[in-house]
Amino acid sequence: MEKIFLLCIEDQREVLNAVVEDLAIFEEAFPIEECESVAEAITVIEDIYDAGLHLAVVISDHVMPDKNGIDFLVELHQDERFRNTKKLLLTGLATHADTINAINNAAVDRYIAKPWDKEKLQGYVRKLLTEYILESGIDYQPYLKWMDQETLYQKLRKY
Amino acid sequence: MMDQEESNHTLWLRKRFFSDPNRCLDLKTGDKLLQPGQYNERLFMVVEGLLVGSIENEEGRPYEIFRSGPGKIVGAYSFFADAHRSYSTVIAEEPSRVAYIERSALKMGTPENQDFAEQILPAVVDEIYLRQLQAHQLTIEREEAREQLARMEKLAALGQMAAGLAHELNNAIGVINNNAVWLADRMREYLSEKDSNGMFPFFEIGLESGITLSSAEVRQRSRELESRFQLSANQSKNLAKTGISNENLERFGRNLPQYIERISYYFETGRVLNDMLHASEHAAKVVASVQQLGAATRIQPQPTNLNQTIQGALAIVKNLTKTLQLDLQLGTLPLLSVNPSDWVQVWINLIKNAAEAVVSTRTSKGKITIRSKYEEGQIMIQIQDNGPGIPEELKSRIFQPNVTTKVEGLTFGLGLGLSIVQKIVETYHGTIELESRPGMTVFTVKIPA
Repeated sequence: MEKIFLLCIEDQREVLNAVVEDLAIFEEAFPIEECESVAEAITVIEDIYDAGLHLAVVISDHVMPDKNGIDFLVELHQDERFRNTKKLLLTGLATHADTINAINNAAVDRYIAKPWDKEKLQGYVRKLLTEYILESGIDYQPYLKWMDQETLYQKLRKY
Repeated sequence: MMDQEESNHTLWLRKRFFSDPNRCLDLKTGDKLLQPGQYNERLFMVVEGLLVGSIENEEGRPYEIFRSGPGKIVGAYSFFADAHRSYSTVIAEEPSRVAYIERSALKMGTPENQDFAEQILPAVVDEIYLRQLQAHQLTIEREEAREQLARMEKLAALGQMAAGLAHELNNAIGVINNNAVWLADRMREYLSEKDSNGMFPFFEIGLESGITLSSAEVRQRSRELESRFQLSANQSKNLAKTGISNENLERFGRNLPQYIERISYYFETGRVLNDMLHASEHAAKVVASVQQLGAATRIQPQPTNLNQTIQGALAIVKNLTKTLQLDLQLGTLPLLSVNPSDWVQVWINLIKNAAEAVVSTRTSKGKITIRSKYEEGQIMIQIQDNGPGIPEELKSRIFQPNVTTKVEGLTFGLGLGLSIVQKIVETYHGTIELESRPGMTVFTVKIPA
């Protein structure tokens, strides 16, 4: 099994705890990195890259003191090394201009509003994980338990 | 031309045409010189006192259109127009004396008439100009009043909405908070009964403190635990979050790995309840600050010394500033017609902000300086701190709602505070500016007075 990471960024600790808790079902196979700022996330992401490991999904808060979540995801998207990494924006503040910006830059794969629904969040992450694994050419067999069957079926038909 | 004092020309005119003691009227305060529709063949010049002209709207409410003091011409329209009918009401606002000339006294075609027509023209034009100027000023004032009203209405509507929302949210938060406390008690009872392996204290650590390490510290501690106790990444991370010391872990000896799941289970149960209590407390604070906004919009403006509103704010946030050095440099200020609670709110937010910035640096030399002074028709108040400064990228959107500069923990920071501050300052046609670099952050509020 490859080492494939999920990464969460949220400046409010209680909220970060709650997100990570909802994603605990994936933790057995996908270690979750928890970050309280964009700056911290960037060092963790660089470490993951340097160690030659996978970063499958980044779940980012929107309004944070050091950097706006959308700006961060746009930058991450423009970084060749993390092109395949799936980006999920978790936001309590969905303004029109921000949404357009995110979509135009194709930086956000999913958008989920606070307060979020646990099953919905898990469903999105499951789908994004599946897409990442298939697009990155990783052997998906060991991960079947955590993958989205419908996405898997569609993607496999395409290839 | 706007000068109400008599010019040389009007003095000359008065001497030449308006000096016949038989053509003089003395008016008491409130006496009517002309009224709408009145036939008039006299041209008046005010010698003493003050006349006020007004027109009435359909409901009979008078609107002032001119005020004429000594040297000013009154009745020009009815005197010169074909119908010789006055269109306005002219009343003496104080005991006044007017001199006049009769139309019939002017012989058409005579040199004297020619002379009158030439000399009176500038005075009449001056009169028209003054009336027009007054009309323009009134229009501008009315427009400004309308805008001010619209702003106040918007703010009041926002305040009412906020108050309604705050009430609803308080109920919901109350339920969540009380039930979290109830649940914590039940869990404490249940887990202490069920406990057989000395796990209960981990629940209490979670409930009392939650996660005290930052995510970066958890990552580091996790690595330490991984190598020290030969644990998996997941196990060490879960253990790291509890913040339990090596000494406390040693007692499990080689069996530690098999206990980790239980330790984590107890700790996390407490931690979840701790987060819930913290979050509801946070929500209650946010609601309280929104409620303030709602309450502040209902009071009528009153003459206020802004220095007193600063003192009022300092009294409210005393506990925030007591560990800091406070330097007050309050100058003499004119009274301003404002809603004092608006300004108390402004200073509370700015002082709170400064105090939080200073505290976050953990230096013992934390200092807040508050200055006020009056200069050139403007009151200027500055709140300065020697905190770490506001990051460059945050400066441009610091006054937007939802922007936080919190450094750690559950401080509400600038969230709503500064957007409310800006709204209030703008209501009084004031401005707020920010200047910030490490070691010096100043918010400067300027209000026309």
